[in-house]
Amino acid sequence: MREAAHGLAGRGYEIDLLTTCAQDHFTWANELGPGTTADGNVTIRRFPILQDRDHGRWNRVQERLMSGDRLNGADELVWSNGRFRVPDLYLYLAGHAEDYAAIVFSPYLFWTTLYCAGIAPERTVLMPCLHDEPYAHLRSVAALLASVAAVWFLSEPEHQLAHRLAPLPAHHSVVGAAVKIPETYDPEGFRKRHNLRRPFVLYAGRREGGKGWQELMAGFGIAVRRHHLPFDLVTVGVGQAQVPPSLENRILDLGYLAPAEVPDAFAAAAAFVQPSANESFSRTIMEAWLAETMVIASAASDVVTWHCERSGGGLLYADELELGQCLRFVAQAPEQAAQLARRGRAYVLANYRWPSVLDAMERSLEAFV
Amino acid sequence: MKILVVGSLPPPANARAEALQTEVVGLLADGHIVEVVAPSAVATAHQYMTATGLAGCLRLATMVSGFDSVVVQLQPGLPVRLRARGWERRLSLIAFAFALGRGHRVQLRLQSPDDLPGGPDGAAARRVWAKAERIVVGYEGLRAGLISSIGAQAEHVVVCSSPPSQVAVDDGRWGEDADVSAEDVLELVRKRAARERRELGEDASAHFAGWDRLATPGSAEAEWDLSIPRTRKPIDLARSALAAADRRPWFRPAATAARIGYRSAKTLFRDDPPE
Repeated sequence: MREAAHGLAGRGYEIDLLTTCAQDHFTWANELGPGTTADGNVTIRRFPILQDRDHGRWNRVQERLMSGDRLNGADELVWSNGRFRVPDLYLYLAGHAEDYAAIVFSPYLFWTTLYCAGIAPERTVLMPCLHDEPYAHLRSVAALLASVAAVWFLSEPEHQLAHRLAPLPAHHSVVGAAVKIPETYDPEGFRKRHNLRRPFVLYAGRREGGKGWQELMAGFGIAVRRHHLPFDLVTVGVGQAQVPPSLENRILDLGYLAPAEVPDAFAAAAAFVQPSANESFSRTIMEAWLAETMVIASAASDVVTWHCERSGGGLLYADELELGQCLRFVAQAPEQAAQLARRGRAYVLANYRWPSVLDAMERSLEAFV
Repeated sequence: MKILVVGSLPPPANARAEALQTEVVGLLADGHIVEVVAPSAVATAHQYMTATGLAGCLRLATMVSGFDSVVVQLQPGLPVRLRARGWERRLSLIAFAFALGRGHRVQLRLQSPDDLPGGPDGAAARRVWAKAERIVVGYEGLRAGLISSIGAQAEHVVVCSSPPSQVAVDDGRWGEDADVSAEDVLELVRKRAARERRELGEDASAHFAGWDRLATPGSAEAEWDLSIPRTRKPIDLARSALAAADRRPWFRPAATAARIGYRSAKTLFRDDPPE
């Protein structure tokens, strides 16, 4: 969103970015001060988050939601309003909606979208970043998708999913997303700085169950054991890695990397593994391909499968045995793996650069503003 | 010669079964009389011996006399049950060594260390290896490990030749030239994984259980060092039980009380340092 905001500002649009004072989506603590600041040619307005002390009721509704229960309207509101809320942002928008030609909300899942998108639906654009998960099937989400003026999707599978969830407004399109292209890579420097002496495969992302992290650790252990693979698994990102003791000498947690170092991590890896079934775009596989690093991804994600099939630059796995064979391929046929990775890079350069994404956004805005 | 072969031929087809089948076919081609006794109730066999572990070893002891040679393919359940703990494993191996001692010209076959729960090393396992005139293993690394670790004599340990079907399907190659497509690679991935799935079959858990840690490449650790299960201390068991209780709301207060009680007791009964 930040890059899109700057991109549109660069094309002459006046952009206000309304957001919260939180930085951590686990705690939602107000770590940044409220108020207005400037980030280049974008104005940022931050509003404080409020949270109830007792999350018991929310937790119970969350458990029911995750176990497949269909919530009634009252429970959906408890869920939407129970994790955190930002009333100051709501009230600011209520008083200033008419100052904006369009108001873009993203992603679909949080209070800021679920509550605030209803303030001025005639000028609201939703960039939902949908996954096929229990939250997407809430009645309030269907109502949200149907009520806004326009919807922007990151990929065709996301677009198809939205059609299954709700009737969509006439103005909806796949605008895609873009990835910044690094000017240089320093894989050797990365290996030296982090003392990585063996070849490794990389996981970059949130280390949590919803992203397939635990399954990846287990599958990696099985693959190494069965095929005597030479790789370590290096992981970077937020969240606790919680590596089991039996895998501690082969799974290396580098924690949160400075943004400038992330491209080097991708370039240094023999392959990038994406285990998540919940992806609406998957920026990380684009970053891997740009670094000419092969991608091995879970076939459970429609979006990632779509990218791998279109690009010819990645392999898909359905279980730990197929993951093991994919890793074997990287170990035994590095030249062929590099060839696939180069196809991935060509795919990203052809489809996911900011000029074409911003062009799509502008066309959509012109249609209804 | 009349030869008793104890092990599972296909089906299902897996590396171990196909290697044993190659051996049996070779023995028949050489003119020997072969009787196959299988631990698996669905494998091709003349007889079945479905008792596992200690009971199976004692049953084996009653079968080996009357044959000029005995060939035994080790697998989970024969001679050691998959979930056997230390004492049961030792007893099973002792019984197995006893049974082999009653036979003649014993050949033991070990496709991979996982086929002997607890690994190929240890005093009880060495008794078993000592009974064999010939040991046939699945790959060179295992051969080298047996020779160096348990003192087997090099000329007595050989690597089995891979059955032709295995070589054809998985030769470690991923296409004829560098410019291979993702679709072609994926087809190989899926075929090879499907073959693994068939090989694992009922024994799926056998291949993923029993290992404690992954070896670090380049380290001196042997695979079977890592396959011997750690003996869990009582404090580890207690920690696991408390962790399980924490995950259940009704038991959480009891788990908290147990922790507080333990810490208080540690403090109360701690030996004060001498003044």
